[in-house]
Amino acid sequence: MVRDITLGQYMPGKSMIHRLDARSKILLLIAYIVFIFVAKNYMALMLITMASLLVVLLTKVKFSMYLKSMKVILFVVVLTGILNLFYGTGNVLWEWGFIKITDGGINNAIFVTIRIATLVLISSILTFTTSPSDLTDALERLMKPLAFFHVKVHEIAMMMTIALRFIPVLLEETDKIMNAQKARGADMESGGVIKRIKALIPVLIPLFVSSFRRANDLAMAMECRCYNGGNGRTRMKQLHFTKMDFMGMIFSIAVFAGVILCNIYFGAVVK
Amino acid sequence: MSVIKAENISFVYGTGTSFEKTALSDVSFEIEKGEFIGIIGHTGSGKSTLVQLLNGLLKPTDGRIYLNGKDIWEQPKKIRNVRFKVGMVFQYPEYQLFDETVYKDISYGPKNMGLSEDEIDEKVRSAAEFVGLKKELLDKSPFELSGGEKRRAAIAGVIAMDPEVLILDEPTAGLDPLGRDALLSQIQDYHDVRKNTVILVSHSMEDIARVADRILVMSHGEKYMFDTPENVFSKGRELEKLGLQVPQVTKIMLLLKESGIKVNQNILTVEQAFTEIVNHLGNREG
Repeated sequence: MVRDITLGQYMPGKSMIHRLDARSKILLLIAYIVFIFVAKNYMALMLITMASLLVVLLTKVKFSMYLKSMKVILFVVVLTGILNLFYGTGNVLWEWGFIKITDGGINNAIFVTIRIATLVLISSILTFTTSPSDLTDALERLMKPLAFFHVKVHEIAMMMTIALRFIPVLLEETDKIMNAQKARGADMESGGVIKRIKALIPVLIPLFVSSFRRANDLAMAMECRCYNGGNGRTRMKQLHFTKMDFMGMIFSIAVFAGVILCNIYFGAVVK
Repeated sequence: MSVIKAENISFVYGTGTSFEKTALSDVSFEIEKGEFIGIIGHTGSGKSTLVQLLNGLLKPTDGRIYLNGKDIWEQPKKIRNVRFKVGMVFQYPEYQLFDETVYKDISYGPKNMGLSEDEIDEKVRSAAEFVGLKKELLDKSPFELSGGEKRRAAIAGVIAMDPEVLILDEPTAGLDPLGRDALLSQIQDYHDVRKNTVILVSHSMEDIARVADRILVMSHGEKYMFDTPENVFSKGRELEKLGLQVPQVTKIMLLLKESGIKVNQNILTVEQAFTEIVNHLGNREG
């Protein structure tokens, strides 16, 4: 069922990582992603993966949840791994026609797989430990400087909040309409591609109609409560940097420094 | 032979995940052909899950459901045929309308059944008549109709499949009192004329008391009672403990009886209450 998607689901909790300021979590995530790609050899990669695993432990979210979110993109990981197997130079280990596997290729495949797995892991940390409203709030604050270039920062953040808020509602609605049409004999499980697409029309049209109705209702409700954009709007929940955020940053900077040192001292394994 | 027979059915949502929740546990009952059944229960009592199991939209985790003596999940590929025989009208069915015209929308079900043009035409028109949709509305877009008309059009879309069993989940929710009464009478007419089995899910005791032959009371995913309205409502105090309200008149008669006045408490409508009280006063004076 569509509802079982774990990627990007908030798991309420009170761990150290949950309590970090959402802004520092976003910035640190970006930095970690950059350094995952900066890492050029196994030592550097291991360092950053270990650091990520440590943070995963600190979140106190069940590890099975992380595995579940990995499962969603397992296909992508395996595919890139296999593709990388064939790109690479070095000693040819196995050859069949134009396909050949080299030791460099195997190296690439292992390296890239670990890289993507770590990437998903730390991205999950952010979405698992930060509520959607905190997340968009933080994004709005971080993007504030863009307002100088006439980017409508508040509007973008509000749209994201609303979109996130309505994903479960829409999923539930889709389920309901699908059931209603199935009860009238809709057949969505058999037939060719064209037949299946046609079978979706009775689901999509009511879904669109109700989305517009919902949007209209929401806009009305917001206006009734005097919403008029971001100007002069105050916040109930203020974001604060605490000691914990600085400690997190110092820890991360140490990790990044380690990655750079490893790069310098151990040489590159991936081309 | 009973038209629907449920044998020890249970249903669990999200098996194997952290969100596992038992919606139904070990429910058994039989419904005879041509009966009008009411299902009541407060929110979360499992009544919506139950009716979705009856027409094969959900598969029971445990137990069997028989339609005319045949297990509906015997051939999972032919479950569609079960859905044609057990028509299901969901809550707020007007949100399922999608086609260009009301006529086309009502004919969606019959078309999926593979009927001929003539048969479809006949079924659509008679279904529209049953729910009281005017002929001129059939060529309009369903999105131009009023709320009540939309609801009728959606119900017609299920009736048009001519199901042996018609299930309606809260068909009167959100309608004004007049619209509610009209719709209920039409459902009752449908039952009287077609002699088909009708199952009505509702939390309104007034509605159910008026139309049902037997009432299935659900509580916490279990069958609490399955009996005639008189017998069910005579247990008014127990029902209140389940968070269910007996019809107002029944409650008044119950209170009268409890305060020592010897009236019959199995009263479901205002008319019955009137006759009973007049009789009682007559007896006392006489």
